Amino acid sequence: MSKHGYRLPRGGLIDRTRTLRFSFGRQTFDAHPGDTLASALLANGEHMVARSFKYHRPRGILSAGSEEPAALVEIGADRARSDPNTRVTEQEIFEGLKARPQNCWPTLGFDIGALNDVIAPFIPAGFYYKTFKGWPGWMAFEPLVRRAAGLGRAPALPDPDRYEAVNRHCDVLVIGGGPAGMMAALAAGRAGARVMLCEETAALGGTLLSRDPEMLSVDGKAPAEWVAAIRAELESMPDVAILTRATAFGYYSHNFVGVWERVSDHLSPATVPQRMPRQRLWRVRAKEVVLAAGSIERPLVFHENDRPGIMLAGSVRTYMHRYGVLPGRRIVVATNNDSGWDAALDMARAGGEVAAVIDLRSEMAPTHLTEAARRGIAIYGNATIVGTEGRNRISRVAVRPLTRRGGSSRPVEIECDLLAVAGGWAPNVALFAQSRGKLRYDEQIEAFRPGRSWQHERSAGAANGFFGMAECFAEGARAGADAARAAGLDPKPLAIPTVPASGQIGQGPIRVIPELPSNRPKHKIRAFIDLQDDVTTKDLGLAVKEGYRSVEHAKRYTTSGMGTDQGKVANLNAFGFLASVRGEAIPAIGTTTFRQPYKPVTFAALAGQHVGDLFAPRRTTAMHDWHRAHGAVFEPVGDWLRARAYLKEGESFHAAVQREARAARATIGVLDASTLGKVDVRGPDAREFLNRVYTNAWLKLAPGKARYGLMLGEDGMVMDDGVTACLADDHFHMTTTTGGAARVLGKLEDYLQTEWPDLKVYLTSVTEEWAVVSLCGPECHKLVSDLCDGLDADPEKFPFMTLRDAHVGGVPVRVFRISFTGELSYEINIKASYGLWLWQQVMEKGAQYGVTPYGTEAMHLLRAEKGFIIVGQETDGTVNPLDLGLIGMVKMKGDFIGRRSLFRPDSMRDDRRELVGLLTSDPNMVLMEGAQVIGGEAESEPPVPMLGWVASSYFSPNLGRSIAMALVKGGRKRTGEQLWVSRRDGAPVAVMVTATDFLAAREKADG
Amino acid sequence: MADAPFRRSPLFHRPPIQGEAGALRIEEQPFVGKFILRADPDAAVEPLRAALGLGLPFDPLTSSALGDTAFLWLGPDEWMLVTAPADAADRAATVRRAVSGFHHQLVDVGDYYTIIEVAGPKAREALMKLTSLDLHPRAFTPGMVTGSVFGRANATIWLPAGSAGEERFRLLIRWSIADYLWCLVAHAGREWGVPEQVPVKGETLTVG
Repeated sequence: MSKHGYRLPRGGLIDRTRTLRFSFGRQTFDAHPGDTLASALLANGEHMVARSFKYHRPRGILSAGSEEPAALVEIGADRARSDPNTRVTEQEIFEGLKARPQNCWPTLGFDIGALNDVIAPFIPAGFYYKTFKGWPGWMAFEPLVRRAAGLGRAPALPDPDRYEAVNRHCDVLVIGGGPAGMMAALAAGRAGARVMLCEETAALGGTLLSRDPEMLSVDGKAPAEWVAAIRAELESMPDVAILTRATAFGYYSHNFVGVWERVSDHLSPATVPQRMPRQRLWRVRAKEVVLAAGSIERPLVFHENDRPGIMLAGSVRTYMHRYGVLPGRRIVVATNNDSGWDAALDMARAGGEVAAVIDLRSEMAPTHLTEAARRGIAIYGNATIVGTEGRNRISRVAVRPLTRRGGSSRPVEIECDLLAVAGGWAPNVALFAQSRGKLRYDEQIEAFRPGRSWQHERSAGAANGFFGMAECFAEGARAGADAARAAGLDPKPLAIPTVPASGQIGQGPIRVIPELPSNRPKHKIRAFIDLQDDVTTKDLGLAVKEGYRSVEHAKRYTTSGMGTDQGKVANLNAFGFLASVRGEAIPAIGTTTFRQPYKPVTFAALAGQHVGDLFAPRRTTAMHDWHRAHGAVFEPVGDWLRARAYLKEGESFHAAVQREARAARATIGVLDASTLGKVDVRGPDAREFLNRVYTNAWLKLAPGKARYGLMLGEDGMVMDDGVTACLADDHFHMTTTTGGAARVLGKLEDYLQTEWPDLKVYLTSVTEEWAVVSLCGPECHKLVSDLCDGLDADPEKFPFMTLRDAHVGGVPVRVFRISFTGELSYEINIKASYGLWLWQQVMEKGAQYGVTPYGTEAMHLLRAEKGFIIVGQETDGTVNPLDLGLIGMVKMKGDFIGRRSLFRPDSMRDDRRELVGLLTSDPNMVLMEGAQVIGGEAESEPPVPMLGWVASSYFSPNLGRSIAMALVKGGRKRTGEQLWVSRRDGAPVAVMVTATDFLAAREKADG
Repeated sequence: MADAPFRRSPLFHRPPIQGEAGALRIEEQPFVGKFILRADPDAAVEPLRAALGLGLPFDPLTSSALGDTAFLWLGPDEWMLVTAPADAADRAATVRRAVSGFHHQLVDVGDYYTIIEVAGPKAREALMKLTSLDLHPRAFTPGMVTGSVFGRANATIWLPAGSAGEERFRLLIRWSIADYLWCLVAHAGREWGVPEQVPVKGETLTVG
């Protein structure tokens, strides 16, 4: 043995010329490139790496792959990159790797939590449900239990790494790069198919890499050589993609498969090329899928079967031949099939002292018996393990015959430092089951295998229940050709690689015993089924006894198969044990559901590139840079960012809004209104169309004129509003709200295509074709005249609700005289690419008039002074035009969308919530938006009768007082009445119900 | 006073970028003429062929082109007319004359959308990071055009036919959202050395 202690003198795919250093906990170890954390730890004689979830029992390395249940550690050097619950069997070693044990304190060797193991009899399955009932209840205990439970810790800092999602389509997706998968990819690739081959580990080859190259040849070559040759051929095909370190984790409908690629997890963070993402999510849409994900070996279920140093026999072979590690010196093998014998002889050949082979069966293969006897291996046929010893690593196994004839036979104790168990192989059917395929229980192999397919997939090799190497090659070639053919290609037959006779053998006959008998009374047997969640046969038995007979119920009651490993090695044993307790066959009780993901996938990979700055798009206008440069505070409106107010140096937001709102009525205010939705409406039936869309009449609007319109949903409620202008008899320019633009266009197209296909109308969105500068204020006509060549904007000559074509500096513009503030107002529309220039012109030429840019907050305030509504502020989908007092907007003749609903009796009730104005008696008090309107001075005992709520509330600089609009039950009839508005911290405020046009009211009072 | 009108394209602030050895090149094509044409294809095709020497593509996902002028199929009665910047007004006038005799709509959307051109040997691979469309050369051939979602943005992707030698994909993207897509395409090219592009950000959203 080498200086690593358990490293074999030769063999494996590791690079022995280089040595890497890594740490586990406080210790530092050597490893070679090509090692996993597991193989490196085992090479150094470290089996115990973790503590179990519930009882904090010592946990060793059971397997060599992604099925590993309990050998979980935390990886990572810093608090941002700490990666909990990493399977040591999958983490590849790099220089400086730092791994830490988790779920133990203060140390792995001495863990306070292990007290749970002492009190185990008091915390059986379901103890949560039994213990935390009644006073003080679960909520009181939850924080304590949560702290005691759980495995790793989440990283404490934001993830510094980059991730990305990639989409791919292919003819044939092959999942699994073992003998079957490689043949499948080859068959499909040679047929010219677009192939993706995904392999979960770092190298292609699968089981071929877990075999002794002295004993197995493929086409006369060493397995690794054959693998390299096939890989080279596959890589030479332009339409074949090979992904390694890539796990197909989810099989969804329509052959959509999620593949998780660890691009750089095997590299030291310091050496990862900056440009490479840490992980990728491949979203693959495959015409055909070949499932060649191999098989998973299951452990044997016996008393004290959870000690470190107890490993799966097949995995031991992987450590020997792939990593050059034999994880024990004195070895006992326990098996229920032929593959355990192959493993035992492998270990003996590699120089291990195989003390004994324990076989549950009484009939064993003569070749195995002869070879074992020749090597001096003790053979116990028809035998059981009654117990094991060894605190943090197995030291002894006790064996006795399974059937005791004539009195008790004392167990034989055998010393060992490795117990390799071979409980039989189960096809890895997880993805097949996820695809909705039907599983079929095969008594020959005592496991589930793929039955009827639902989607376009087929299984091959060990995943299909064929465990012999020759069978795997043939199966893979068949499946690959089949898939290529189904994808429309014409595959040619493939020569099947030849392997020596020993390669034909699978696991042979198998004898499954759900729980091996021990010398102890049944209730004292602690035989573990789920090593991560500490579920024993006793727990499952209790579940059945307490009525949780269904596998799904027993699973949830005991948490069997509910850990991060989802019971990959545990489930079949759990089903078998449940079946035996219920006295039924396994097929009769069925399986739990196989769900995505096959193994835990990082959230970061799922989020991909859509995080941080690229989380979501923000829409900005052509004038955005100017707003930014001039102190704008922005507000999101849908995806848009709109300037909310422009703060001067040292100015507060409130002061800025007041200043802007004053300017818009005193001199000139200017607003970027580019975000409003705009639709070009064209066709001989355009008028008729608008007449059906809007509540008011449109048949007589003359070219050059504009009109305000209200749009309802089919429920009669206000959906959108805006001004639409007539450009020509068959041509209109419609505007919508900023947030409603896409919804309105979609709805109108829907009506044209499905309800009114007879109308000759075309609609096209022109929202962003135009940048819109909205000028407002008594002086603004002067600025419009200054700006526009040859346009006299005098309000007398350019009437309200009309439009003119004009030019600014020779650039065509369209000017609308429309107003959202009640003040004299013009909107200049220009091609968006000139938007910034026009805005600058307005600022320069408007300086002499004191032009003031104003944001959306002042715009909201200004329109509220006039009592104009904002869809979405004064309306919430339950407000109709009558509620808003806009009956004048509703035509009495002719149909329109929502008309029928609007004239239902309920829509016309006189106690509906109606829009009114509210004035506080203290003019400086600004009501809170959303506050409830109530009928009494003092709040009565809840429930307080609510009359409505405040929809908009501002301090108006132009009126010198606060104003508010509210929706109040029977509101208009209450005009002049006193009501109250509740406050969170204070007595209700008295308010007067008024009309909504506060400006008009002031003018009337003044006049 | 700088009175002379100036135009700004939405990606004015983004000079062309590329990965190592031109693996991926990203560039805005500003001010390309773009018009939406809606019309009955049977009525419009012959007049347009007579006027422009260019027919309307009838088949979904296809385009027709003559020199720098092309029609992109967007729907059964909807196309985008694309022209070189200098030809826009002329071509639009020609089309308008050709279809004036019957119900139609021709709308200038030249400033609504801009074009992000993505070229280079890794263009297809980069774009596949953003869209679930099949962009394999067997599936997405020169001349094809289709609308889809790229990241979180709607865009139209077009591979002009007959661009001799190298393929230059064109993404037609709305003005307001172009910067987002630009940065997303750049992100997709990071592995081939395209420099990182950070979206315009940092606006004040809250008021103290």
